[in-house]
Amino acid sequence: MNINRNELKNFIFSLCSTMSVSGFETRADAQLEALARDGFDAYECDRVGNHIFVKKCGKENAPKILIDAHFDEIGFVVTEVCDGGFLRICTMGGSDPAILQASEVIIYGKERIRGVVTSLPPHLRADKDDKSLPEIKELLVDTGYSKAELERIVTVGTPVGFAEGFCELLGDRIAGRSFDDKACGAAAFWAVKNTPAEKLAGDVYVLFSAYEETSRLGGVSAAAFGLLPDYAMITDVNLARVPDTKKYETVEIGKGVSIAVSAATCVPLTRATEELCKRCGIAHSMVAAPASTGTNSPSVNFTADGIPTVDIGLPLINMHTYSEIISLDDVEALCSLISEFVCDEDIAKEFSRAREEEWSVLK
Amino acid sequence: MKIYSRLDALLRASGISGRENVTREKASELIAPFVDEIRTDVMGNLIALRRARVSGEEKGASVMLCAHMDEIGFLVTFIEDSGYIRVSAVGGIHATAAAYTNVVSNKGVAGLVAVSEDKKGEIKVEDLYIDIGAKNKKDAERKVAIGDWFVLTPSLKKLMGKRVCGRPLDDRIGCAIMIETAELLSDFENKGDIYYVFSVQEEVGCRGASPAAFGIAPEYSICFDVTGTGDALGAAPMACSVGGGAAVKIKDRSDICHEQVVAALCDIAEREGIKYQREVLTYGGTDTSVMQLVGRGSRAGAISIPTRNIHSGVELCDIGDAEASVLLAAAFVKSL
Repeated sequence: MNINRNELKNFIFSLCSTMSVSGFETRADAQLEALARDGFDAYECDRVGNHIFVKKCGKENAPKILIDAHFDEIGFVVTEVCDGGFLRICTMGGSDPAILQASEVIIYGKERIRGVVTSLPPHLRADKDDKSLPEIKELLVDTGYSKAELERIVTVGTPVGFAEGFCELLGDRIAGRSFDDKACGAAAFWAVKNTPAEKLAGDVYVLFSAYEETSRLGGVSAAAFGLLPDYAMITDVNLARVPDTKKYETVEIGKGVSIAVSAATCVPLTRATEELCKRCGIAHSMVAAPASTGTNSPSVNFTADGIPTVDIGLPLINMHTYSEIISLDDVEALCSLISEFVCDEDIAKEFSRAREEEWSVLK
Repeated sequence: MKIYSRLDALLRASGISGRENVTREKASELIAPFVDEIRTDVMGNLIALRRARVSGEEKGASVMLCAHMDEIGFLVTFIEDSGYIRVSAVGGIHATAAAYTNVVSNKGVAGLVAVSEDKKGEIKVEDLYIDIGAKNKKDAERKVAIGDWFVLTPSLKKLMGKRVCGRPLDDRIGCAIMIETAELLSDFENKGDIYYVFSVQEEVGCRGASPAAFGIAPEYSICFDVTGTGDALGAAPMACSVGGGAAVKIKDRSDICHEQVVAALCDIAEREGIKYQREVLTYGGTDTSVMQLVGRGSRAGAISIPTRNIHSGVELCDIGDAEASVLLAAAFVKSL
């Protein structure tokens, strides 16, 4: 597909600046509804907090195609407002303690205020040789406010996220926060929006799902059960290779999307997607995710009577930090794949629910 | 309110996870006057329904209220030649709290929890065994069979003020709150169906509420369960205390409540002058998690009762917090 890289990049930055700490996804509903008006037929924020964008193909009895990216991001919530303008916080999803100290955060209370996570300089540590990292419950957020002022703005349960800040590196790389998984969300939204409705092989449901970072099932399970799509593609970031990481646990960045081969996804749909990539010249690599993908895929694949699911990865460096790195070449490959996937008539024919149930009659 | 007497009746009707029939009968008897229908599903969940008082277009959103009726306990696995009984934990048994306490079996056999005498250091569940006073294996087998179960002996005592102590407050206090709420709503012209679910098998992984919520498919769900506090000596920091009011759950390790449900509960409490506190629990889990995501999902929230010494024989809570929970739950249902 024809991609304006600058436009796509700015859309990623814009979507990834939106606060969507796990459990607080619904705060973005007005913004996403406004976004959906251009290029989609319908929008819904469901009971759980999943955002669903619908684009119809205009044909009768068309299959339903689900493209999922989780919308929630890792973050924190306030557990206590302390004396001196400090906040105690706990994590929502897996933040790496190694990067927390002295990081800048935004507190999304009645007003949006800034804070910095505390850090004890080595000079002041009781044991100067102690290299162990403090636990999150030992850290505080310093806001600079008085306790009285702070109590007006913040309560127990107020979400806290890493400060926004995006950086363009050399070549096709960009760095910033919550590319996990809103970079995939941006790609899915952008690709479907820019694919003409008459080319679609079915009605397309772009799902920005809730609770992936904090719940075993994820909000996606409820959405998939409600929509009952004919088949689905899950898009999520994947651990990219850096020096000293094990080759068999990582994928190469800048070499396109990864396609998971897993017991938790649909083998025929995975094969068909690989074929599609080859046919359309989309850069890709196959990765093994033996028992599970660590993404939303199993929750969709095993929902209801089974929904054929393929798991697509976008390589990412520095996962779960405020400086995640991705490649725009890879994002473009993802956009192309999504656009081809939702238009592919062969896949629609093979995986449509409407096809006859084919029982083998045993004599 | 009659929370204390209802709690007293409910906690004496013992039932470990998977064996809740006695508890179910008691809960059924207590809630029956306030609902239109009662049924038990295949899992053993007790589902009581107060139908919407309007129909057709006027009908409003359905809500599922839920408290679990199972409790933690011991399952008999083996009887030694000496007559001592080996057991396996059902749910999160706190071995230190269970050691050297009285227990009673599903058949009413009294016993005590002993600890292997060669045990040094921290006590684990594997170090516990039950002594029913039997002379030998044959003697013990007259009273106990493999698969029988024991619980720490139920009790309830009044302490100072409105504080009570005993077991299992987790979660018969939630059950008592739900029955009290049902009574309060029994003359309300509800627009949507109200389901009161006494769930089974919560202590072993929220197994009961899941199929119940799938069958009901409510628009909203509210769970009543105990929560930890930050007000005991040596407790981890937590802005939640016994006597601090009904705790509106924001998150625990298993779920993050729907933000609008949290906001609605807090607004209602402010407006009606109901004592409440905001709860962020960094561990633990409740039926809220499965009600939120099963089937098409529901807008899920939870009202927790701050409780000290959870899963011990001396769980402590404040009846004032339970009363606030009833008022809050009833006002929330009326707002739908």
